[in-house]
Amino acid sequence: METTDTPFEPPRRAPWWQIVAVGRNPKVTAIRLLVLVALVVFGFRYVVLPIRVTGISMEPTYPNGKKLYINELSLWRHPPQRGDILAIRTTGIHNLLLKRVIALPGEHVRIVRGQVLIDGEPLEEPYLHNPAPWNWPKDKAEEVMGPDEFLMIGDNRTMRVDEHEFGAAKRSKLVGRVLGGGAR
Amino acid sequence: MSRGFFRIVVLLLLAALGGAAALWWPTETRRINRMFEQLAADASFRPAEGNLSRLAKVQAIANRFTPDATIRFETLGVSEREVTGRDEIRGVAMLSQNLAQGLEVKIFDQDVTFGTQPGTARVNLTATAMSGKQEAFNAQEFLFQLVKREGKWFIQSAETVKTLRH
Repeated sequence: METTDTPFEPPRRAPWWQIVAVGRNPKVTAIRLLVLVALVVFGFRYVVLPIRVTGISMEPTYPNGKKLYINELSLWRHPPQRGDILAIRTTGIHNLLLKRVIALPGEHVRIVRGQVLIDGEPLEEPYLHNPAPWNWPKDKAEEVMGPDEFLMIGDNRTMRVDEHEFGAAKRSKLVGRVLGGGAR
Repeated sequence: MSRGFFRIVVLLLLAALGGAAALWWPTETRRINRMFEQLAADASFRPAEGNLSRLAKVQAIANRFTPDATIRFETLGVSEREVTGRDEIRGVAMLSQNLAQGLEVKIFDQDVTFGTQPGTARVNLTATAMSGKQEAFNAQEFLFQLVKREGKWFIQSAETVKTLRH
């Protein structure tokens, strides 16, 4: 019986520079890289949005320059509640407004000498410090929120009513809650 | 170098080329976006910027509008104001140059929609303006109506849009 010896071939090793650059298995490294990039892009675009507070409208809860994260998935299962601090989109998500939910859809709201009245009942707002005596709305008795509108106001109401940007935001404009729940 | 590795490199290069082409291919939307980026750059100035440069920027701003253009502006603490025609627009642009600490205008999230009539478009965008370390106005939404004349886009009207119904 004739036998042939096959010469032993040691496994070919990739050069060191290739291992440093792309690992021992470039295909696996490429797949890992793609998955990682996709996760990071998806995560920071559709799940957690890092923002920096600009301006004083949410003081003292969130001072100017504070860094926060918005949880974009937070409104999926739990609709906005009164007292939530939410980010509101402008024409996109690169500049957001940060305000607190004061009134819910269908509610009748007015502000008399700084006191918010929801359907005639005074709203307790422990987060306010030295609010100015706002009267709002000016040209009618009360404001009625639409079926998908939320009244959004900042926590800093020490300025005159016409110097504070607030008003009703449609549900589609709401991006998410501040990660960590938002101070109440 | 293994064949698999070479294939991956070629694929990555092709993807990069495709991405670059998608990013920089000159489309009408990109032309409009670039026009607004230039408008923001012209509206911005440093405190130490010379008078000639400032004048050139003011002229460049006015030239981006049609001769009969209208700007309707209402923002926090500023009651509604309307400006019509290039001369008035030039005047307003000149006034903004009085800010001693300079001005930095930035635009974000442009959304271009082309009209049913050819050569018309509308643009929604958000702008911010900073003078020194002070914000000149909050993030403000704008709506622009554009027309294309002799191959160039011009602003026919501009107005501020309220993010929150007040």
